Amino acid sequence: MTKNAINIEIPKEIKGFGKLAPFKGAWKTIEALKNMSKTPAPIHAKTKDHQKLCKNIQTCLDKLDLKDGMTISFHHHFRGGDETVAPIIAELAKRGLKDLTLASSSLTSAHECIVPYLEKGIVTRIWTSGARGKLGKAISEGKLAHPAIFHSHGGRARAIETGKLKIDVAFIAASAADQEGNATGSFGASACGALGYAKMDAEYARQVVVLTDNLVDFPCLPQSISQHNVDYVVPVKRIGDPQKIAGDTTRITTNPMDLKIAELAAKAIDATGTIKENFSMQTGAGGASLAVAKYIKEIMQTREIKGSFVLGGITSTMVDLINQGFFRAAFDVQSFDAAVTGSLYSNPKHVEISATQYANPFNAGCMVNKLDVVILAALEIDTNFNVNVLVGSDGYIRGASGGHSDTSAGANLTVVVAPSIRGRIPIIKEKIACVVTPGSTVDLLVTERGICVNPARPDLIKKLKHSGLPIKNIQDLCQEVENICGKPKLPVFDDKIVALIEYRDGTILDVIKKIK
Amino acid sequence: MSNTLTFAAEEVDGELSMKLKKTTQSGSLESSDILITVTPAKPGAGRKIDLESVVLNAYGKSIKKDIVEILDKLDIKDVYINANDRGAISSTIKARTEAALLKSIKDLNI
Amino acid sequence: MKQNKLRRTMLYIPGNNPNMIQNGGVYGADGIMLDLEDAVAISRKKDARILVRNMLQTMDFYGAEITVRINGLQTEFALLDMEAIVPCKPDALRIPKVETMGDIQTADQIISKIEKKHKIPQGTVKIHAMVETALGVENAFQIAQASPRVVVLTIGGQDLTADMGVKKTLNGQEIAYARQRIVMAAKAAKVAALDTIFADVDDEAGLIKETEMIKELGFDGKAVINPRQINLVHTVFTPKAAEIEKATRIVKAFKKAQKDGIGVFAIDGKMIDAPVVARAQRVLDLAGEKK
Repeated sequence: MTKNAINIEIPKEIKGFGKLAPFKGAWKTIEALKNMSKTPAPIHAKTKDHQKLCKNIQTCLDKLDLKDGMTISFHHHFRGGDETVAPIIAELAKRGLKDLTLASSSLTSAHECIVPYLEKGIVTRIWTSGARGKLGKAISEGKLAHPAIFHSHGGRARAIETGKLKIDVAFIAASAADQEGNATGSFGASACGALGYAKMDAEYARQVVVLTDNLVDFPCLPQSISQHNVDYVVPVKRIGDPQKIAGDTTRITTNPMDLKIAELAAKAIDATGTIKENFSMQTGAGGASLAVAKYIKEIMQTREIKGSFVLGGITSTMVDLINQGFFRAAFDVQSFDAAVTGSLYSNPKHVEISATQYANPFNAGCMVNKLDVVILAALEIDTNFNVNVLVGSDGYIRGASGGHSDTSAGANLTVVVAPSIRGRIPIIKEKIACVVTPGSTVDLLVTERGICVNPARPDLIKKLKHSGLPIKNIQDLCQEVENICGKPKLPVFDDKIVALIEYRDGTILDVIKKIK
Repeated sequence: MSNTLTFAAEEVDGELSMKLKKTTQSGSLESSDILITVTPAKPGAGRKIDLESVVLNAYGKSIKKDIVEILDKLDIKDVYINANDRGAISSTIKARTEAALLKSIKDLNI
Repeated sequence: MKQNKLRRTMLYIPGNNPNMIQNGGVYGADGIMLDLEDAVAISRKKDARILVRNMLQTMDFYGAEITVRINGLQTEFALLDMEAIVPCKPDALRIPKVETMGDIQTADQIISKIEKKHKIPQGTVKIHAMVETALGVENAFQIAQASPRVVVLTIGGQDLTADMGVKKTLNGQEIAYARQRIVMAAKAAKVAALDTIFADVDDEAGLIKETEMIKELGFDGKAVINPRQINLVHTVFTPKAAEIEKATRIVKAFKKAQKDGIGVFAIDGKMIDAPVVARAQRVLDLAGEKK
């Protein structure tokens, strides 16, 4: 065991995974990098007469090089509406394959059905940004043979580029594709928007399969995925339900509590001097986080400010902002709302980017580093501003790392918005279930009961002190909320490690233990 | 303001006998509330509390403690209580328990 | 200086809703009103009374003026409400359907008795008198000065129109007289005047228009039924930059004049006297309260 930079005990090695590097600090690993190369991308050489188009998934799987212990990858742009992961794993299981590594850019409520494959040893390793519902529960209860790896979106791109995550077969679901494998998510009946995560898999996977429910005449444009990386194309009945991408998370809320938090957050951001000509921003998808955009827009309107770009999971609200001229561009790694696909297809200011362009810390210019402000949610935050967005207050995995730690590190101002209480449980605690984003990269916490400034940012304290906003010490707010709720009994964990939380640079930030 | 629970004089003073007369409820299944159902039990039956809660692991013990505190104050020895909690804070749990009990004792809603 | 307290908004909170009560203080309303009357079903009166009592004893409402609307004095609930609530020392009780000076005197006597029993200094719990019948409107001044406990006179538009047998309309022509009468009575008795609610939460423009109108009439603030209405009302009541600038100059000059022992002075060639200074101070009070 070694203690990492945020005082968390990390094992030196995990059987079947190898040596672990403890987290050293948000930028320490990157500062020390030298003479490192990207892993070579596989050669997909084909003769001119190679036929990519397969009759169905079975004939495609017949042609692929499949073996026990291989890594299969998916992208989660359909979020809760995904219909690709489950049938493919079922087919592989039918063929007797086992000991698979499932490397989906994230896993959602649509993936509860893979739990039996964990129990049977068909899937023994998982790399993902998140897990929810029965799947999260199964991982928390130790049903996966090896610890799951939870990575950020930027971290996944880094792991693929450095060769730490080697993909044997990538399955890419596209709402339109031609028979050579040029593919996009920006149009078609199942349009899901940007394919930012899948772009990585297409570049680096040993074998690449495009699945589509909308085979179009050559060439399919735009080429979100390009034919030179694609081995096979498979027509399927349906790739997913785009209606389930958004859920109810992408329209501005009318919940007065969320609006109050959002209003306070916008005022605090303004008080720091961030809202000025050419500034850039990213907001989360739902609740208070997205609602901040409404108040920032009002401030921009009053002062006639035009921003530079919005980034991230792009929602209808963000598209409205570029269409109304408040920002010059939207960079979209993942569309959070099927309603924005039309804009992605036709508006040149709405730009599709890959996960590496979005947030990979190991390249020369990921977009998160250009952010002036990011507004993020939290499940829990501790009095050192460390944030948990992965494990619920009951100790079960029920969330996702996403771009949280990437944008926190990259943005000049990182604002976490959260109600101070959820179902009686205080959000601010002395000790949180796990750390996904280190407190050194978080600047402000905004709750309905007050705003806390990270003491590591005396410049912000100075700017906010006389703003008239309710600024509170985080320990005091923690106590104030506990006085209302009472002290919760914290979940109890076993010693067995069921998951590792990887920081975006590949070091280990925290471990998740088996729930008792 | 003081943290101690002070009963309004009218509620418990006088010749009231602390006998539960019928099954009564207080509260709701809305978020941050708790639905308390009080059913009279035979003398000597003791107190039985069934608790369901969205925060059972975090607050189960403390919810029962709050309910028992009110039973003690009203000197109720035999009762069956069913509590369905949706994340109510202590003040709410005590209020709902007290209201349900008083309604059962007084047989009145006022 | 009871008249100087900011009362731009008074947020209604149903007394039997724990979630809304525990969050009631966070929205930044100048006052919150926990309602035991119309927002609570007859069969839930006891539940709400006990809940509100417990919440008053434990919750922090972040400095908002706390009032509890009890049930009407003619109901069987009123006395129980007062006995449960007065010992918790809210800033005030809102007494609904006040029609005569006698109603206020009755409430005053009961509150006094309870204060005495619980060793609370006499006069701690104030009264917001709610006028919502034709008779109440005609007796407004007498009601406002019936007891030193009365600090607010307020109009209930819904019940008043029902009592008058007319429909409540958007422009409120039917209660125009009542509003003016209430304001004048409040000013005469030197208490604050609060306006009725604006029911359509989604009609932001309508709320702003009505708030501008009642501000011009002389009301100090308005009851609101949704936290989303708070900022809209505050914005109307918040002085504009030019007003603040002028008020600052007046108050500054006044302080200097006082220090120099000068009684009367002039700004921009206009003589400044006590009422002008008082109004300027009021502007600054309103401006300083940006929550």
